[in-house]
Amino acid sequence: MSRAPKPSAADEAIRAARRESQLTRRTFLVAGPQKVQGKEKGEEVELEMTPDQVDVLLKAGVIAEKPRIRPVPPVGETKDVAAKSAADSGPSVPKDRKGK
Amino acid sequence: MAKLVLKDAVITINGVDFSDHISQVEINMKKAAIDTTNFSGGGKEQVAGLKDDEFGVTFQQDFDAASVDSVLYPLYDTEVEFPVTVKARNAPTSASNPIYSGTCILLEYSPLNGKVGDLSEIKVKFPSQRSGIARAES
Repeated sequence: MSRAPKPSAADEAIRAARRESQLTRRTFLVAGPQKVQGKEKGEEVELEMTPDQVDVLLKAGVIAEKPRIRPVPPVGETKDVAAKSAADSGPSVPKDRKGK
Repeated sequence: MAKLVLKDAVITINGVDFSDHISQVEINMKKAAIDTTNFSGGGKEQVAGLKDDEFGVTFQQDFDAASVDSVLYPLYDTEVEFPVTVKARNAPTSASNPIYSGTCILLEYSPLNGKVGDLSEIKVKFPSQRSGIARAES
C-alpha cells in the first residue's frame, strides 16, 4: 500500500501563503459573554481572519454580523424609489388570473 | 522586577478571551535534539532540530453558547488553524509583559472528564504549526 508523499517545505510555504492571502479584515459585533480582542458584548470588533476562523466564531455565537443599514432615500424621493421598484419587478399580473 | 504571582494572565483562542474559564496555562517550547556525536571528543554533541512547541491549557468547561465547548469543538471538527496567545498579565504588551503566540491546531479534544461533585475541567493541548511559538514585546 503506497502512502501519500509527505509535503515538502516548499509545499508548506505555498500553502501558508495561500492561507495568508485568505486573511480578510472585517468588522463584527461581539455577541457572546467572552471578550474578543478586549471588546465586550455589543461592541464592534475588527478581526483579521480566514473565512474558516470567522465561521467558527459565527457558528459558536461569539460574534455576529453587523446589521446592514438600508440607505434612506432623501426627502421627496421616496415616491420615485417606490415607482422604480415597481417598474423593476416587471409587469403586474391580474389577480383573477389563475395559473395552471 | 518583583517575582510574579499569576493572577490575571490573558489567554485567547482564535481571538476569543477565555481567561475567565482557564485555571492553568503552560507554554512549552522545545526543539528536537539531533545527535551529531563524533570522534572529536569524549562526549556527546547535539544540534537543534525542528521546533515542537505547544500551549497547554486547563479549561473550566462551559457548554453555553459562545463559550468553551462551542468554540473548541468546531476548531477540532473543522481542522482549521487558529491563533493562540498568552500573556502573563492583563496589561499592555511590553518587555516585562511579553506576548507568546502561535498558529495552532486542535488534534485532541476531551469535552468531559470528571467525577461526581467535581468541577468540570478539561486539559487541552494546542500544538503550534510550522514556525512554532513566537515571543513579542510590542
